[in-house]
Amino acid sequence: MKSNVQHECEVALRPPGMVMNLSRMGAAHPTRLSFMRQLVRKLHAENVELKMELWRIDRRGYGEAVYSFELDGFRYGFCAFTSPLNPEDRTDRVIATAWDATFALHDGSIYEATLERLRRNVPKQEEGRYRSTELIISRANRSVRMFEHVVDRLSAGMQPDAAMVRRVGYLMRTTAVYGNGKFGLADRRRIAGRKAFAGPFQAELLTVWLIRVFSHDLAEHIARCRNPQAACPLELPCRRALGIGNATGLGMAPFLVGHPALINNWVVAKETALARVRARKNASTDEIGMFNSIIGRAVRHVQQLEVEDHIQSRRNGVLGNEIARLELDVKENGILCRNRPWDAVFQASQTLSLEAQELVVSVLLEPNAMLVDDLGNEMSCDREYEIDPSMTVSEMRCRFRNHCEWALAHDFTKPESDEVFWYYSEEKLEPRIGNRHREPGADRELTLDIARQFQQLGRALEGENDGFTAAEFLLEHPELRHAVRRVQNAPDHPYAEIRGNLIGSAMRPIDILRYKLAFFGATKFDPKSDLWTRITMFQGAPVAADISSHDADDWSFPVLTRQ
Amino acid sequence: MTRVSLNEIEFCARKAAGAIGWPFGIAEEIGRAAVWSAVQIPAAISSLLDLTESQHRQVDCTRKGRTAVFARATAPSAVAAFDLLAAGACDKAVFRQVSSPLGLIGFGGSASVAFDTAFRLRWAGGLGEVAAGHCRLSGELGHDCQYAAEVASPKCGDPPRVEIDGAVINDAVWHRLQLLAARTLVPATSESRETGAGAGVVDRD
Repeated sequence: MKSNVQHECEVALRPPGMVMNLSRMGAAHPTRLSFMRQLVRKLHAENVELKMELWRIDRRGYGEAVYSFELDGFRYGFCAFTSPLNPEDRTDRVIATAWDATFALHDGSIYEATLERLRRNVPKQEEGRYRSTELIISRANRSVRMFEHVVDRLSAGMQPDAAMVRRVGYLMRTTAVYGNGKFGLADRRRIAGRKAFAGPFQAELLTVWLIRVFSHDLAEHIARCRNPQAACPLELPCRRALGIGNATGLGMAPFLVGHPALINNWVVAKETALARVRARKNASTDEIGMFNSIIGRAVRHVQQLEVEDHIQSRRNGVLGNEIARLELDVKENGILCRNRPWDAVFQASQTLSLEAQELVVSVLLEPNAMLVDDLGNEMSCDREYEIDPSMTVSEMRCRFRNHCEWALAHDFTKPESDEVFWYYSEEKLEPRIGNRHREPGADRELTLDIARQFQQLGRALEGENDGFTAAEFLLEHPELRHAVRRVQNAPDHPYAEIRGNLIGSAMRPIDILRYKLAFFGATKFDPKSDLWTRITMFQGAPVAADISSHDADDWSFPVLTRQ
Repeated sequence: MTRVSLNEIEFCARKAAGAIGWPFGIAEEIGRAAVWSAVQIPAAISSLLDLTESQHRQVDCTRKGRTAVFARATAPSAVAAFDLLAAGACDKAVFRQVSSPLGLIGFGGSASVAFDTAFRLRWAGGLGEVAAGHCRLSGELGHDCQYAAEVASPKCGDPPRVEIDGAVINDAVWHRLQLLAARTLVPATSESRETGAGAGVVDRD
């Protein structure tokens, strides 16, 4: 359960109280440890070759397609089904029942009998039933404006408008990606032992990368059907610039709270990477060159962000100015020529906004692959917490005081401190939040009230016999079992808990979503409210055609330049 | 019979336990016990559900020397018994009233995985041994019998069986689990519909 990462650095890891603060979590940026980056490195190293086995798509873009590929000695099939979608049914919400396209990643080749079974189920998504040979299902809707624009331009023999590609960034937007046993799909344990899928969410993200491939192929196909003589394919730079969109909502928060050991491992890896980099005594000329290139690109990336949300828009504006100033400062004041140059850059960022501080962390990791990338192997977790029934009350009290007292900062006698409850709706199990004091359903709330539970446990421990075992304590307090499990494991998992009140009125779910999405490797956070955000994935990443030849890591902070 | 993933079983059992009113920490144990049962002895899931649905909320336990005596077998008393045994706080746990020993075996099995030990269970006319990787039963699986569990030597189990293709579960039991789990869902209202992610946005782009 405990992360294997060794903290043998001369620089301490940033403290959990700083890192796991909701505001800072809501300012996170992807790094080279993000799961998409790990996946692309793997696909590149394995020289993955994608083969189109079947393309039964009509001139309007409706039908089915099958691809196959081999990865790390295993063969996989990927299928796509597309059908007309009424405009009134087009929604990013979980409660949608129809989509432009649906997909499945299959363990093995997809033969006709399998395709027939998938054809009957995959387009129904949650209403379908799957076998353990299906690893992932997903669905996506076209970005209508962008998709039509790209098809129009390609059919006329022209490339898409660069400004529009930059602004939208994708042809299709996924609205859910399901794996790990949902609806009969394979449990994670089926693939956890395979090298390619050992890391977190690798099968899910591989599916998303394949959806991106399909979206490009589909647009080119329709363009060719419209004008066979004049149509042209997407040129590689444009193809790379077209990632895949995603709309993400409240479901991410229960996941983060429900997998404390896993989340701890993600954060330990990232913080250890930062500490290793900061501890370096000097930097090579090549590394300094790479840093200068990356921070310059980061500035342009931020300047190109266009979001409607006024809070995020203001933050992006501040971020762009701050990073541009820092870039100048680093060059003019010779910061990279100092002893411990990377730490000097880090220190110089500490007076900036949280967005800027976290972006600098991402930039600092980029030129230091040798110190960072191996930590990606430590980010998965096979088992969550166990209880130690023999631990004494005295020891639990000590662990609580040393690691969980952050929970005491919240006053749960105030109505606003527990105003929010999280739940799953009867409507397609859509995750939602409600107002405890106004809406029904609080009796069915999800267990995200960790701070409140910790307070209850802290109070109960105070009155108990020091020598009692946890087993004896829980005999009297079975309602505190979950809190005991978390507190017992806290010393070995310092980054497992979000240091905030997730049921308070001031909580912004978007902060939690962004944190997880940054670990995934998402870019262009475009919040549509405090509850959900649109993002772009794999923008700038190699595509199927150049995954073996293109630099697998040169796509952080994607920037679109006019060709 | 329905083939379901182990993840489905765990989450469904956990939700069912929550719907019945058990604290989340107990519901987690019920989910784990259901998974262990599904892999080792699927017939035990129905009995596990019986225990989970018990109306008795209090864990009624008295200690007699090194023996913990529980008035009846319920989900939290089963969890408590294996905790006490694993902690060495008692040598034996006795349940005075058990509707079916099979219901306890899942808790013993999942506890054997968690605590890396093995448990021996004995009831009138029957014997069971559970460890992470095995479950051996002999004799009758009678009802309303006396039941005792004793700690066996630690680390004596086989390695856990890795089930990669889910488990086959009785249709009626699966239906029962799903009905219970559905009780954790909150009915939709027009107001709640507006608090779902994505509400209020017309997706035309």
